[in-house]
Amino acid sequence: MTIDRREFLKRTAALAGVTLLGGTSIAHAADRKDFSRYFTNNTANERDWKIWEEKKNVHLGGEPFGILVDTTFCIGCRRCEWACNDWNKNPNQPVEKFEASVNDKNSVFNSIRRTHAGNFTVVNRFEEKDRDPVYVKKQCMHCVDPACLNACFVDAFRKTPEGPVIYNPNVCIGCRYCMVSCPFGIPAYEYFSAFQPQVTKCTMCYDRVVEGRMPACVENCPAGALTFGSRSELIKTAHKRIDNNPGRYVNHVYGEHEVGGTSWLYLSPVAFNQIGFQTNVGTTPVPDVTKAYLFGVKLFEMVSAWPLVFGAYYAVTKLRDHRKEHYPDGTPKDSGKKS
Amino acid sequence: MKKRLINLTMLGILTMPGSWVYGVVPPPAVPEHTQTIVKTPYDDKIVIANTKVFGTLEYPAVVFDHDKHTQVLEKEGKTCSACHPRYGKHKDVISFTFPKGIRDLRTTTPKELMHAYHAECMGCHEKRYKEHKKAGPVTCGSCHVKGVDLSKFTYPPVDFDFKLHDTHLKKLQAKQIEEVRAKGMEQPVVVRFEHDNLDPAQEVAIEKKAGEKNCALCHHSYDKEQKKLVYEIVYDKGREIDRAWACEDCHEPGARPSPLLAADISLTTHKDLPMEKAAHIRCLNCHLLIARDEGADKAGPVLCYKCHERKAIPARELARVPRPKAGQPATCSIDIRDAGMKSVPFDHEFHEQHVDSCRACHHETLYSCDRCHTLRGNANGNGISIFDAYHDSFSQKSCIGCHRTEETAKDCSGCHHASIVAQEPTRQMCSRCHSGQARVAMPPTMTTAGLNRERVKNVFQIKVLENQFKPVKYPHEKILVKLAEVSNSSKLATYFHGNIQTLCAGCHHHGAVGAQIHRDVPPSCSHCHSRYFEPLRSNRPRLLAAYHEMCIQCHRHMDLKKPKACTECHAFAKKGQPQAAAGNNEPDTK
Repeated sequence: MTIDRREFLKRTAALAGVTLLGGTSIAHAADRKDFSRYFTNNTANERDWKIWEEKKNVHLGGEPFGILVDTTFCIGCRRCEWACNDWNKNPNQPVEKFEASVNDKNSVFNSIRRTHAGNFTVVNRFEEKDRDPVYVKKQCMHCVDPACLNACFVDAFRKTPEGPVIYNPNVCIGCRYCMVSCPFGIPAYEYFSAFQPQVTKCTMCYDRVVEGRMPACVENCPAGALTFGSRSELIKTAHKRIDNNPGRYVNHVYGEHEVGGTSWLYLSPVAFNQIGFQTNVGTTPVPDVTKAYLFGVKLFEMVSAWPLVFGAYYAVTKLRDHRKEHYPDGTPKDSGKKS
Repeated sequence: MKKRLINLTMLGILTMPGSWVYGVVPPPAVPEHTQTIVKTPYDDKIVIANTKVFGTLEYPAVVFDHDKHTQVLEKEGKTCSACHPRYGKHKDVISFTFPKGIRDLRTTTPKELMHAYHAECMGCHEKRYKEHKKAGPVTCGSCHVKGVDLSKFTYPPVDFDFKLHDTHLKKLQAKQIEEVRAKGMEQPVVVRFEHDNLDPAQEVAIEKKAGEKNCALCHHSYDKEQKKLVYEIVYDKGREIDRAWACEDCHEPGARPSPLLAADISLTTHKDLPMEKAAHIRCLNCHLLIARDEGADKAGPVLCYKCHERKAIPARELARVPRPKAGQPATCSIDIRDAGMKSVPFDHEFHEQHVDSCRACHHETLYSCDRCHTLRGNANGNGISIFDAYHDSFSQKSCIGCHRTEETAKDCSGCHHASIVAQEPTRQMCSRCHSGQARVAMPPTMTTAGLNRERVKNVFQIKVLENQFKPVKYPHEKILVKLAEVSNSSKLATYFHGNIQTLCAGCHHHGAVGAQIHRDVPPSCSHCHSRYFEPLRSNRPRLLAAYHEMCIQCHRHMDLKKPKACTECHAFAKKGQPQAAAGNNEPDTK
């Protein structure tokens, strides 16, 4: 196939045009009104990291914490969103506006939302005929073995012994590998910050947890949909709830085994893929997928690199000797032929 | 002239839509009720797949338009026997199987069956082509059509309820009287379909006189010595009571049929008479014969959907239908020997009116439960002891299992949805049934009249979210009255609730415990559910959650439409004045 210049330019321009148009109009069309994506100057990351630096060697002890979300209890009041914004100093509205969205016609529930730079958690509504709507809170799942932590090559993430996965904005170089690697698509980025853009996500209120308090969202949940406690206890509670209420839940605790386990656990009355969960993430921790390969690379470096280096050195010296012997006058003649 | 006329007509046609739009000429009136032909979702179409023989299908399954074929054949004066074989040696009895050549599907190879189908269908179509008649397709793709949603053509099983049974019974009775009169008897023999208080010899005599047209017409039996079907309701001579048995007992046994029926089941299996086949032979042949002899309007339906899509009759109407009598008692006292429990009075008549068929409880035979289920359990009862037969929570045939299902009804599930109420039976619950009395003694209807007004408040206010919302007015008495009303409307609830204090436990689920701790004050949610997080009791819902859970879950389960928005229960305290949410981000102190 041949392609002339005109055709090539035409196609390139068309592709660029389509990408530009499509990129702005299709992707996250519903989110464009959401001003939280323009938010900059996150302070929660910095604050949490400072606490981490202080407490790094002195821990609370005990088991890691978790939060159990029982979606059958959630009434969609969005107080968790309000509380999260309030605590983390994100752009906020009066709590009445959050609560009104359950009944509003132009409510935020009409579209499925995701987390942005200025909101760490969102509640989505999943409706279907002949059943009550299911409200699902979405935020960082705080994996037991986080993919973002392993993808980060400047080591900006930490999995704290208390459970939260926190982030250090000072070393971050903005590669956003963490955003790509997250199986739940959670980390957001301050795209509108010119000088100090940060990756933002739920911190599981690390600053509160280390003080022995529960995260802001859990404290503000009026319907009992969120339960805070040690992760292992919560798993037991979740299974007990399933057993004691036949027909109320599907027999699965999301987060118990997904990607090697997550700190946030979910109970649902309907199949999890119907309420916006990734059910194909598997039970292997995401880092385990690459660990073997990366280990191989390191091993290769250590074992095979030296023979290669010395081999190359040997070959080069050998070649030099060979040339000296055969062409004592200098370079071979054929190299001059071409020019 | 002609040209002009054409031009004018053309002009008229062209301007017509415009004039409709601008309202010059009214558009042709659209009839309000457009003529709609009521069609069932099935249209009497049948899916031919036979996956039991074929396994995975090579070609898509065929959707066969049965109605179309019967209509054409009817016009040409042909009967069902044009396609379906006769059953046995009977002249008029047709076995509704297809194709004709196949006797038993279990011994047929896929190839044989395929050839039989093709020979029967395409053979007929080809023959008709040769005779220059309108005929169906003969090419592969016209029958084996790809991408048809076969789930549309799955017929639900026939719901042969007591009403339908009653219709059949009345018809038979009328016929019987007619027949007896025709035989010239002076006084028509009282047609007995009831077997109580009747000398067995006398009964047999009556049945013989009435010929085949009695209950035994459907509830027949099989004479194993003579090897033929006999129209005798006596199922097996020598057994204690003569009873009509359900078709499914022999023709469609469950997964693990009782050894009592083993001989009969092996017989029907040997003769290849599963329920589906047997029911079509019995029902359809009868309907067809009556249609032939007496006219189609007097006969039962022959189209698939008319039986298979009967709408369920509402329970209230069904309750009025008289029950078939098979010698069952109106009330009885269940007393199992050596069980060490007091006897249970049982209102059999009342329960009959609340089930679909006898098989709802008498799942295999019409004998009493203890005939098969013994104290320790044996092979006849599939190893299920009499205790489990009555008490298994997960069986629809046991008392408790069925009552548990009743609890899931809309009115009941408000309280009963919660696991806190749906517990295993307690000692007090045992004595509700095991009363030792001969008859069921109904407790008096509930009223709120006798309650202590000082303790049971009329209306009280919940002020937990006072910072944000106005206090919630909780109509305590109204709720109690409503619950009492619901309870009184059901005999089951009235009997088992007993007194009005039981209803309190719906919300005050640990009321007794709470009341003991706080003797002087009425039991309140806040006695156990603390307002703030308690690390030691992290599983216990906090106060806000407890209120919301109790109220919302009850309203949701009882399908009450009213509180949709937060403000329907609690109004905002000050409009547009958001105050700090209660206790948020403040240290957890009072």
